[in-house]
Amino acid sequence: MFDDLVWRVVRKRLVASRKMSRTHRKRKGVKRVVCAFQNLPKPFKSANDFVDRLLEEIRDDLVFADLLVLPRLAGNLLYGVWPVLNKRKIDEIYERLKTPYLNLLKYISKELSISIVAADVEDFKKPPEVYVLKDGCLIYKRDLSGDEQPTAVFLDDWAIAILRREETFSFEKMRPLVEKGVYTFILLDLEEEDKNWWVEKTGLWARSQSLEVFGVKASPFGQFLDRTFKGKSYVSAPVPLTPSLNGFLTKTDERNGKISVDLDLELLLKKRHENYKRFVSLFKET
Amino acid sequence: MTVLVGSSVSLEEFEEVDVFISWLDALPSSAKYSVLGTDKFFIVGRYGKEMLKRSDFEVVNILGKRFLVVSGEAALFPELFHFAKKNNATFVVAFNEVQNLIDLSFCKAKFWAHSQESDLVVFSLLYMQGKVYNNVYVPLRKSENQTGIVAESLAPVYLSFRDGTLVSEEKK
Repeated sequence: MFDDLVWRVVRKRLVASRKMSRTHRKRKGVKRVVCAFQNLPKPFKSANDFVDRLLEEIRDDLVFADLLVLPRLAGNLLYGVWPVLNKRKIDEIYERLKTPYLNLLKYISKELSISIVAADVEDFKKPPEVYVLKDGCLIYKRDLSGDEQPTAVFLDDWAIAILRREETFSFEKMRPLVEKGVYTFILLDLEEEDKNWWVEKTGLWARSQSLEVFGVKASPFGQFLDRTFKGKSYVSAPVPLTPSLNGFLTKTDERNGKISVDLDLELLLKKRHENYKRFVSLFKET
Repeated sequence: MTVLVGSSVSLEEFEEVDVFISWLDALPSSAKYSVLGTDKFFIVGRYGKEMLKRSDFEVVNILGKRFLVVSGEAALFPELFHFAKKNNATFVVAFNEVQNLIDLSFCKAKFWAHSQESDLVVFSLLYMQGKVYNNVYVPLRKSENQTGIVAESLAPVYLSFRDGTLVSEEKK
């Protein structure tokens, strides 16, 4: 009875009403990817609070941003909407946040006319679904705990693919997508272990070098209730496309949790080694 | 098994070398096996005698271990390393020519990535503007410093392997 009363109050706060708009300047062959909330912020007190803090974080990129990536746990932080948090009922709270969070993402995507990649609210039992939204509509979702294959998701004039962590350690699942014109791969991860950068590089970074593609890894850093997450986020690219020749276009650290990067797809296409098909047939013949 | 990656001049410093890997050089009689190559072709020899000459890639048996030797662009693709793995190779020897420092860094990154993905030991010889860079990569868990990089230098590298695992290294 009491819970229902609280829920009725909370539900209203989970609906965003903040007005927002932007003029989107599209550029030919260049796409700006912005990842927000990589350093986990304090819990949100309402959906409007979520929008306000998001706008504050991406303000400088608003005009050029083509894709907004939100990390896992971003939706869970809406638990702050509850006036008093009952940790024994936290699973129930996460469950109740799922639909309002998806609606909030649709709202942001529509109002800002921006594509969004974000994960569903985490239940910490299995990896969540990852959503891709465009113009306020959910155009793709992938269950990270299922066994379905990754597919190309088309956003206007470019394509992306959402990967599971295991898929980033081998070229095999990614090559068919590259053949379909996917050159941007996104991984939303959640890690409590603090891995060093060498270990980190064996994933998407290595595929950026071997397959010559862009990799966007978003893994939040910070405290969430009684757990500490130590994820590393970065955007990787083939070495010749990175100014410091280290294969990273950008990476986060404890002080800087924001990622904003331009992916030059046109330049990537010019520089790619496309001869592999000749060799693939040779490998089969041998 | 001892492996020397470098020029034939460096070979004189060692009494016994099982496998000598070098950018195009004369086939030395002092090494049991030699793998010499360029961006266009490679030669495998035994005690100074040519056993095999190829222009793309080949898996060869050397002292009970399988080596995939490759010249040129084929080595830039992960499919080759997958092929090596399927053919039970333990080592990959790649010869590539690069034009500038950017491509040099890119090739190093590629071979490091290939080594991590395929779990193979990779000897990458990169020729740039008259110099040969000797690079050796191993899977992270098999490298002493946990970086996967055994060598990235112009200097020769002398390595000892037991059952395909690196046991010691020495740079001259």
